[in-house]
Amino acid sequence: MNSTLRNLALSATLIAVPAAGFALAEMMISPAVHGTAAARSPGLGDLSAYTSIVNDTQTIAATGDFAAAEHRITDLETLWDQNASALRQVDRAAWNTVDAAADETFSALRAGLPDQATVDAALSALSTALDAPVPAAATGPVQYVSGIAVTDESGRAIPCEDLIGQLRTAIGSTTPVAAVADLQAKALERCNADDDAHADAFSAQALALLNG
Amino acid sequence: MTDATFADFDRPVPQPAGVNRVPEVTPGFWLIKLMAVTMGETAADFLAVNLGLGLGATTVLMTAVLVAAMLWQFRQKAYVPAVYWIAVILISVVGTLITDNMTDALGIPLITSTIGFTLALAATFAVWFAVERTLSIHEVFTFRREAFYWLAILFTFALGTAVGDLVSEAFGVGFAGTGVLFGLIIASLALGYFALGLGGMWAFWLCYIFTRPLGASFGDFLAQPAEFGGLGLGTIVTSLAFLAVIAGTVMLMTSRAAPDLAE
Repeated sequence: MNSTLRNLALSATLIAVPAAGFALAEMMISPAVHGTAAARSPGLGDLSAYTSIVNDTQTIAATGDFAAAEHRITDLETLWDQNASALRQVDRAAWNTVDAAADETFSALRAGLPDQATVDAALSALSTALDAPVPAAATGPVQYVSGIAVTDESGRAIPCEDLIGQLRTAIGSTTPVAAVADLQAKALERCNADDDAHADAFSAQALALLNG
Repeated sequence: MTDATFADFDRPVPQPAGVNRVPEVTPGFWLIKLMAVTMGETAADFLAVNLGLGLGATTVLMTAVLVAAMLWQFRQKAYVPAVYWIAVILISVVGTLITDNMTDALGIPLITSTIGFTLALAATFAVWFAVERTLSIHEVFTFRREAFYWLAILFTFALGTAVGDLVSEAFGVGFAGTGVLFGLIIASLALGYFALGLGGMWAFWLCYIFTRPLGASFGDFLAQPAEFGGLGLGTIVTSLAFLAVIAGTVMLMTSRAAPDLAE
């Protein structure tokens, strides 16, 4: 069986050499191969306006004036609600994370007798949520397109057949507008090419259009 | 295709006694194999995605068609090009669907299925060799040898699909890059066979695995629109063109009918 070992070693080498060469060339030509994934990474963009309100509220709450602190956090509530639908479109999971932390803060400050420790904890949790709306450990790298999840928790693209099926159901027997039909055709095409990521993005955009 | 044409290439190739039931490996063999791969993939996609049958129903349907085709192939007891290549196209479809199901429906990571199919293929060869004392594809004379042959082919398609998808996920270079990579590997294996004394069986089966992702990339390159780096022929034109090349080559093989049982 020496020839078996020889053939095995030779085969492994013959496959490994071009594969390694390809990987090397690939790294040199395009160092940012995963740029497309990063571009769709989760997040809500610039949240500094909210962060500064939280900072103010923390300063006021530290003095024990919970009424004034509650007044200031209401500014955040107003601003947050105004932008809710836009932010939710950008990244639903991130929006949920911040919204939950904000709700905790409101209820801590609006309790009959606000508790200093509870208020501090809620405010610092909200501050953390605003800094990193999608902590990797908590929600995983679920990616969103037009507010529709296109990956599962492990960051893998959802099977394109699934989203196309959803889209088909959403369209039903109606005749979709040209933009939706166009996106559906593109999704089908990418799905046929086993390009789940692009197919899912097109399906999600079409679903978002349908959902208004 | 008309009945008359079909009857033409349904004619068995005249062969001496102890007939090999599978074809010899010629450039024409690889040409059809490469085309059949893409045809199979496109057909599966068309049923599962465009017609909206879904992956599960498509798998059941295509497996039933494959079983029928395999029964037809086994009944020939000789190499009949049309029957053989229909079986290959269908086994390509089902092999692809097995991997797609494992990945999409069962959530098995591609690296796991790649390793799993490698082991399954190795086990098939081990049992094949243990039982028959040969892995020769030039001496597939019996039902049992032919069964081993087709089982190995099924696993090469499943493995080829897993490897191809794994690479395109790992590198994210699209079908053009994937095509270049697998083209290089096949060229390297050919070099090994012709210049470095790589065993014929090794070269054959490894190329058989890697022509699966190569064929899929090639098909995508022709079919995909220009904005994704393809030639924009569309899946229907591409499939029909491939079918024409397959049919033409198979008819040529049938009419030439020169049995070449030498190495």
